[in-house]
Amino acid sequence: MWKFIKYELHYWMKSPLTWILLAVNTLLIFGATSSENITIGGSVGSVHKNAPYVIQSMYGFMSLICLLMTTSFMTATALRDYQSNMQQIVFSSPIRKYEYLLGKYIGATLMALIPLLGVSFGVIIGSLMPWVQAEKLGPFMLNGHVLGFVGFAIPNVIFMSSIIYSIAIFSKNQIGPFVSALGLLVLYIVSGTLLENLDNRWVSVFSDPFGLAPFSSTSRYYTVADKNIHGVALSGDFLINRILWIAISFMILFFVYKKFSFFTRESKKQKEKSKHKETLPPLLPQLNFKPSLTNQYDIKQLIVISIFEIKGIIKNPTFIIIGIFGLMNIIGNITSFEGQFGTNNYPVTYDIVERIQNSYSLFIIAIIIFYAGNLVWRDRETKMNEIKDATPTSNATFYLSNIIALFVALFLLQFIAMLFGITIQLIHGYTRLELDLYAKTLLGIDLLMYCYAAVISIFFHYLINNRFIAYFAMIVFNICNIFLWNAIKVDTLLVKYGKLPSVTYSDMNRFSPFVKNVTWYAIYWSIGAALIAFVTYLFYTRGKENNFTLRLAEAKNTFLKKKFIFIPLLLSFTICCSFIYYNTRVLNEYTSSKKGEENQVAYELKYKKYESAIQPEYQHLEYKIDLRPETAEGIIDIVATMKNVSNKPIQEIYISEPEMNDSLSIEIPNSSLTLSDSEIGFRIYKLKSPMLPNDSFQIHIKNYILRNGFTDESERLSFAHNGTFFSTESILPLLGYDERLEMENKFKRIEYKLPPKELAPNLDSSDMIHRKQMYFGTNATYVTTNTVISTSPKQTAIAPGSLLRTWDSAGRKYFNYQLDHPSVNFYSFLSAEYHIQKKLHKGVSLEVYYHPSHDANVPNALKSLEKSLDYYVENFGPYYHKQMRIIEFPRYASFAQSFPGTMPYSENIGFINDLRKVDDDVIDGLFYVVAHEVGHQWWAHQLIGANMKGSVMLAESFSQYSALMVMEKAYGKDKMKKFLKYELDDYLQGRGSELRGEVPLAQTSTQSHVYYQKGSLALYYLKEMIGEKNVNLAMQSLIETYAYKGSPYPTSLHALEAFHKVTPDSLQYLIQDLFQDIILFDNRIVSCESKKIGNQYQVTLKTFSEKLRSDSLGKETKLPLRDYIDIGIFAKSESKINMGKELIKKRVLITKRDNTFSYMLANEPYKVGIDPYNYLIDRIPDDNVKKIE
Amino acid sequence: MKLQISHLNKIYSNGVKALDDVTLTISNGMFGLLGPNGAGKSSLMRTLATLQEADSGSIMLDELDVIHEKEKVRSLLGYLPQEFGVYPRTSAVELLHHLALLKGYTNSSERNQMVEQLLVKVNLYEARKKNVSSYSGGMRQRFGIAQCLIGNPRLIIVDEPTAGLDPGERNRFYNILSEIGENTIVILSTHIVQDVRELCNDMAIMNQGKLLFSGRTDDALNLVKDKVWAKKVSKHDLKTYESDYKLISNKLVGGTPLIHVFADSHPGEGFEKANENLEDVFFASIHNLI
Repeated sequence: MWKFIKYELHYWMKSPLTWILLAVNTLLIFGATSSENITIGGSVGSVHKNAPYVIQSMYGFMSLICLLMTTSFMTATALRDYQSNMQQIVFSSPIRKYEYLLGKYIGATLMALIPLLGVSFGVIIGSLMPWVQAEKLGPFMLNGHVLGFVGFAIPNVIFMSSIIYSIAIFSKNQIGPFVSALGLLVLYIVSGTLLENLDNRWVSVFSDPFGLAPFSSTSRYYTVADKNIHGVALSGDFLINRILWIAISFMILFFVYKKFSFFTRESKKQKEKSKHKETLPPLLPQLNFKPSLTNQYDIKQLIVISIFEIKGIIKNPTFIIIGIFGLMNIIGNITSFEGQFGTNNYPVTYDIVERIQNSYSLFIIAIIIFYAGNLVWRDRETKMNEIKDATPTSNATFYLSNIIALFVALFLLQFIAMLFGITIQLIHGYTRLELDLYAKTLLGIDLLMYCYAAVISIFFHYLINNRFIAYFAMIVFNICNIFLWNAIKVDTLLVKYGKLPSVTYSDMNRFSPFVKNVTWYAIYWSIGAALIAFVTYLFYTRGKENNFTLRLAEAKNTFLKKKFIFIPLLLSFTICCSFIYYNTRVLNEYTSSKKGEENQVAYELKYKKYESAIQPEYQHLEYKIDLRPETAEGIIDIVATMKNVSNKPIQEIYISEPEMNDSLSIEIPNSSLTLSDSEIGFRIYKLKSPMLPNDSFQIHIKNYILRNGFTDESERLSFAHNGTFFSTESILPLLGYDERLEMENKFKRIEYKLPPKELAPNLDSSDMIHRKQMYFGTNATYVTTNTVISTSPKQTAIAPGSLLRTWDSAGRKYFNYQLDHPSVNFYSFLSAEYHIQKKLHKGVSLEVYYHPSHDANVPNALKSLEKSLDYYVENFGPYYHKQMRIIEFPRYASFAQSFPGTMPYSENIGFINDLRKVDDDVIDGLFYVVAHEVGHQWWAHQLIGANMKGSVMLAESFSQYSALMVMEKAYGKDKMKKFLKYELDDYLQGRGSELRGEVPLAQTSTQSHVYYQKGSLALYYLKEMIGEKNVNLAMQSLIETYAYKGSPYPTSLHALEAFHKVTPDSLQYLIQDLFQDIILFDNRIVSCESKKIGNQYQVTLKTFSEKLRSDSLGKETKLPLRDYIDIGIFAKSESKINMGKELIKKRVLITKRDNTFSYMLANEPYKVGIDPYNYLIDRIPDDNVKKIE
Repeated sequence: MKLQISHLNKIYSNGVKALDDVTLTISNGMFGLLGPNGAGKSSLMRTLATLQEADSGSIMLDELDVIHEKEKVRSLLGYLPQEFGVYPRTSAVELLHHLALLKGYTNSSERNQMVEQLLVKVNLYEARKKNVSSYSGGMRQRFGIAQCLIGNPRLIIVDEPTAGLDPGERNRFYNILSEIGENTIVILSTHIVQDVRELCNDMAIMNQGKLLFSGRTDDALNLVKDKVWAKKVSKHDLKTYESDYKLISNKLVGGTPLIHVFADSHPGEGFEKANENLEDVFFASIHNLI
């Protein structure tokens, strides 16, 4: 056997393939380790680029990528003797079966492992590079390499090589193994989609042959420290999965051994049809047809030849198989429409289209690359070429028929995908099919881009005239086309061959912002592709001539003859190019992302010195806004009253320009503009006479948002044809230097040599400087506004406050709005063709403005507004506005946001929730988000925290809690368990990608998993422990003390104080644990039993409890237990998600790790649990409840 | 028709001289091109079939410049390459239709009739719906001639058509070839002397890119008439004969070498006069004896 192993080792050692693959892998991982732009293996936040966990993930990921590499090794090894027709010689020599089979297998498998070592090489070399920031690297740790190699590389290569080897041995052709490799890949992707659904997790843990599912489920809640030090140990699910699949691999091999035979297979006998003599047609004496074709170019001939070529593609099994895999992959991606909180969304067409694009495009590209080669080389491969080439048909006809055949095949693939999408929509009972949208995307933009790719792919084959170099060239070209231009800082789509501007379809605004640039680029690249097609035609290979000089001469000859085609093409290409350049670079100023960063840095370096300069405040703003939805433009005219609220005179006004500043003009009375840095966007106005304390004056601001031509990436989507939505942030000048405009990213700051930046001033109630500022700086305390806003006659425009009157003038519709109560200087303006539903409730007008086709969930929104208003007014305090508006806006952003009385809400969240089964176990996501946003009307708009860490808790965590309460009232407590499970999951996962280390809730500033998810969990738990009434009382007291009071603003410590006041002494520890510490529990039921004694049941349960404190990176230390934890016993439940009736619920003070409890019950118990509702943060929440055996 | 080849040269990039100043005139009828493997036959054929460029020289088909007016030549051309394959999953009928279309027959009813006639002619009518890839060697070669005859070509080039065929198939193939009309040039390249003898009135012999002989087959035979002598010799004497005589060929007859030598008069004891045949002409010319 050894001789076979040795032979394979020698063979592959000498083969360039081995070393090329090793080099490719090394390079890829080197890139991921040493560059910011490539991410493999989940090095996010503070996780080191060479952390054991990251190396392990890289091994996992690369072993999957190497699937095709392993396939090459195994197929070549298994088939070598057959392909070189050596099998009869080899098999007739005195060797034993197992020696032959196993020897080759072992040899090739060992060699297939070599390319994977590139992961380790790449990481090690990459981490030595001087330009990698030291903060992103940890010390060299062997465990990651070993775990990765042993846990992923070896088992996965064994698994894949066994399968591929077996298939190759039996199929004796190349197609079988490659197709199975693709099949495996699809299997893996499908198993990945199952993982997303929490309940199916155990299935995919074992069904994933590559072990990535148990790997990621084990490491789901890993903290930064876990990832940097330990990686995922080979134990538990992960180990079982690995052993299972190695065992399966060996079984497959054994099977092959049993079935394999040295006898060469008999060639299949042709089925003889029953011989039934046909009468021969008579042989005519003279047949002398003249070719009907005199002209060389004939459309009819072209069509018939194309049809022949198309048949050739469609009948080809490889095409069918790749196509089927692509479609299977689509199915895998369009079966679940689960969104936030496990609630399904409606299968809206744009979503289906995007899913198809994401899951299908790789397959299509594969088909293009493969088939371009196939079409070009088929004649030569089948040796039809000499016959075909000697016919009088022109090169152009041959070439065009190839291209057309490929185009038609691509069209068919896209068309079938579309049918799949439509079918899925209908299965879900969704009938708004939007065929035009399918046509414009799948059969329009996408198909065009695929055709461009097909043209260039064929071009490489004819130009290079070597199949494999051409494949390679095409792949290299694709990679360069995607990455190279950015790398060398050429930032225009004009050079990215065949790339059309990206498009986001919105039900509201449709394709509007993208029509111009996509159309022009489509024309541009269509001409470009035609030019390439022309050059391909020049180099069309005919006959046996391979000498490039001769072919060049021939091409030159043809070129001279066909100049009349080339010149107009080139001319129109140039014109198109210039036109696009003029639009994107001359009419529109272009700022590269690099330039943007540099400006940001310059802003900080040059103007931070003005940070502490006292500036006036906005007091009252008169807005005059003329929206022009027809052209997606707007003219904004603001008269702002400013006041010096300090006790010092002001000499100079500093202006930081807002994001939209093309035509910003500012008039400040009695002042002169002494500095205007238009590149960075900073101005200084010197006042002729100082502005004394309590002085005020009016400034006049004009900001015209106009459009000239078009840009590569459509910009200013906030001004739309239908669905304008912008806020003060983007149009109103900021007064003074604003530190929120500074660069925030920790690593970017190091790159630009900026000093480290705190996310917010440290939490300190005695820091009166920062307590004078509210946590989102608005250059104002509370302002009043009056707005006259006009729009197109069909649209409704909305500004803050009550609508005083509307009128029509000069073909425009005018609206006059006025704020009813002074508010934070942070509000939005919207306009679209809305349908409106209104309801007057307790003197407040509840209003939903929505896109006509999005009416399904409007009643839920209204209901949520009503319930929220009721609960908040009753428990927190009065509402000061006269309206509550939910207003839909296009999906260019997917959030909802709360402005005074006005809550814009993206069209792709909530409005498309499928709430038809909301009475079962579906969570009403729209209802929840509305309640949260309404919560902000109190938490942020009334009670607003100081400019300090922790203030975000007062806004976001409090709104979360408020919304939870409204939900609980409306949908019951059982649904809260499901909801909180998602919150816990998000929180625990968020911890694993911490950028700066986790902080306690009361100190959080930018970590959304802390202020949203942990906020929900902490406040809900507090409510469970001290009661809803007490929590609300504390929050109410905060409103009473601070609502609309202005500076000094409260901090999170004031909230904790309020909570302390309402908490009994025995539970005071909770406030510290929940808000000022990072505490985790590990609770579980160890065992439980139930004995029937007479009519009663005696239930005995053993529990395990541990309390842990985590540091900012997730390193845990045990804490002594002295906590009240719930013990519950439940009856059997009918419903799948509900717990069943509580038979016993005891809140027990737990002081040691292991405890035993015993209870007597009258009813039959079904489940027992410790902390059964998962109030506490627990990394394994599922083991808290156990079924009684 | 008349095909005039003048001073044709071709050197491949690996330095092999495939065509070395070939000058040749071919007129209507069957023309045999004889030469050992690698003599340059296929290079010449491919150049005639417009599939390959020549480095220098000219080819005229009557008034047509073959090298520069490829499109026009192709519409007069029927070509059966030495080696050819077919598309998988395609039947003879489909493939002939396709090729007829490529030759410019866009009228489908005419095309139907023509394809049918061709299939009958080459005796493949019954197997017409089978995939060509499943054909036996002889059937495939007949299919090859059928496609070659599409559209009554005036210049037919068949490159080594009988290689690998059994005698029966070879005869069938000859019969089809011999039926081709008189007003046509048929160039048949082969390394099998028998083919030329049986089919061609005119012929040429090539070796190492050079034209060694061209003319009528009878003239070729006259070149060696009364000059070929045969003798059975023992194996270890072979060396001596090789150096002492102008050896044309040696082959085994019943295990003993039978040598042919070239000599104007009786070369010595044991030699008998052999009947002249093309094989002797062939070997004599490639050994530069005539």
